[in-house]
Amino acid sequence: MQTNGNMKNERDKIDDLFRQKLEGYQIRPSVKVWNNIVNRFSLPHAGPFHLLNMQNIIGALLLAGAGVTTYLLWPASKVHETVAVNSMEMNLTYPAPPQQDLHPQAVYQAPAINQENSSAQHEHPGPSNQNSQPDDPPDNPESPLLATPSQTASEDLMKSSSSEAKLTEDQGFSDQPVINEFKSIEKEQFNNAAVWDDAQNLKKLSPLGSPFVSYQPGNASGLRMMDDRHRMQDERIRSRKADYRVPAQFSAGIHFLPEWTNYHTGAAAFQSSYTQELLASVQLRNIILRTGLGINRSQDDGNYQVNYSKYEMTGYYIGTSFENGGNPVYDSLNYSVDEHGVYDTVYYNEMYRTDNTYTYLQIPLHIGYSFLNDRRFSFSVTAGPCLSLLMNEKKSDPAFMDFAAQNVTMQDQTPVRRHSEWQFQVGISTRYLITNRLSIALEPTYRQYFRTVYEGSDSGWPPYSLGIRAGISFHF
Amino acid sequence: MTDRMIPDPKLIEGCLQGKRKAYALLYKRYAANMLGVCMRYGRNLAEAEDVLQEGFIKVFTNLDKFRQEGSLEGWIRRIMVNTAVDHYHKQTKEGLFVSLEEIKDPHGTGEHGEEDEDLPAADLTADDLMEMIQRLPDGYRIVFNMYAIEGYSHQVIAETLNISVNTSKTQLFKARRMLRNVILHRSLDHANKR
Repeated sequence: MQTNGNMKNERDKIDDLFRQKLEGYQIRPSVKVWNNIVNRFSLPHAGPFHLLNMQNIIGALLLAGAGVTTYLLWPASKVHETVAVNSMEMNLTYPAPPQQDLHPQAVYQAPAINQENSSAQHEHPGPSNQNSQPDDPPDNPESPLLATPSQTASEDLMKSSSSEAKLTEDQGFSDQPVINEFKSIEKEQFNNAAVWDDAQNLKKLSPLGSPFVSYQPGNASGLRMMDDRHRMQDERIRSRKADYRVPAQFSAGIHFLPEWTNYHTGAAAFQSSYTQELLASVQLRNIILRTGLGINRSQDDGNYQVNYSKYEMTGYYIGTSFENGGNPVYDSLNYSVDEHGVYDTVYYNEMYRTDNTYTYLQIPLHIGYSFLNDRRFSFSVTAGPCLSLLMNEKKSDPAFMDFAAQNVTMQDQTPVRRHSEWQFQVGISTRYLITNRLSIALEPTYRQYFRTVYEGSDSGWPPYSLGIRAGISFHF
Repeated sequence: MTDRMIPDPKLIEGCLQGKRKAYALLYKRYAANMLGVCMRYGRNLAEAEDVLQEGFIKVFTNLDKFRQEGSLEGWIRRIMVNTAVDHYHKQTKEGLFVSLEEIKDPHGTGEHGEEDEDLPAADLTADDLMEMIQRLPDGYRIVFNMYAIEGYSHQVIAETLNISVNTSKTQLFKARRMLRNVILHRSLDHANKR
């Protein structure tokens, strides 16, 4: 009975020991387990919000800020293009000159010219036309009779520019002194009766001329002069605007960034990684804003503990045997000594190191300053955060090839990596313009992680990496 | 609302409605615990993760059959144990595991070892014990886990593993004996090192 009681106690001790210590035993599974479950169970596809957490929201906000900034900077270059292409567009609205300032011939000469030129396509029945009553509705709704000559000129100017981009004060174009001067010149031109006389003559000669000429009675030389004035004033305005308008420069490019990272794990000093990036940047004066997407592939060590046992010789003993040679008469014995091996099961516990590859999606947001802009060369410093999201990990098994081993067990002791992390990047970029649109760039970079890349190890030194970014960009 | 604030029934409801986040939260809540269970039945972490993966697929597939009479954790744990046993059967068919009937006591201690020695278990950690369990022969390991830790009866173990009740008892006895010897050897080694 006592023995049975002891046995029961022993059973209970063993069972209790294991139950108590292993109850609630937890190990965090690797990322691949969940990925495999998702793939095999066909979980509902992650919506656009499945990566929502504070980090990613901040990242998205930063990127949205970059986008808005880009949008705000972008119109400056449109203004620039409008001025460059449309040198004649001065769609300025201004009040019509007072009626009493008009030369009387501007009104009374028109009927005479109309009589002479009955074949003109654009006839404008004047107030002295006897076939028309002053109150009759005009054949042409745009008849200048309904407006003063200066008003008509202004409207036609508007018409002539309606199909093209307009440069107005609304677009930030405020050069009031020049505009006022231009207005006064225009006013002077349209108040000159000779302009209207010769315009009618010119209309006969040039039916395919500009709408301005074909519609308006006036003086051809005066029109030419006015056209020159237009151009001159436009040039003046353009030159003044060019003094202070700095267009934003937009570019996009493909970059390759090899890096060497020190994870402070005590393993190999630096692990290699490389990133392929698609970056877009906008530059206003010396300020550069850059963002984009990158795919990063990082190498890191995997640690496996391999346990196995082998039945092998653990020692030896010397065995002695004797014989008397079959002769009982002589009291002699022949001794022989043999070495015999002792075999036992030996347990081994070894560490194996493997190569793991991790794939990250990276979203950088860099702000930079260009401190040297040569015709072809430019140098700049860029810095900013980078959001890194773990997308995939590829682990390799340890190469354990001992075929005599038994009970082989392998425990993956590689620390699990975080799914997302923030980093800070800084680089010094040298850009060389190979054509008007294409440039190549070389940029030594430094990347500082804010915390370790491994889950549950916040106390270690955060990694850093050194690299060099090379790429080609297209300038819009 | 954090993960811990969502009760299990709500989580199950979310899963049944096909919400991906509910599945993810359920997994996140129980995966580490269940991997601890699977580790006891597997020979290494990789094998345990395979079992965990299969087990969670079964959990998600059969979640509508959970009647919420017991705890969700207990239900998931039973699925994990059954999955581990299925894994064992599968491996046995493929010849990777030694079947229970073929197991011989490698230490030859038989059923008449010294039982009244004190068990020096004070300095043993959970990792040490896990390592000991994983080094047991596959059949010993499964029977010991099912009986000593999960609390199944020999009858249930016998039915689950397709063995006789006596075989289950014998394997359990041998498993205990082997574990006891390993603990004793270990304490002797430590004493000698000191």
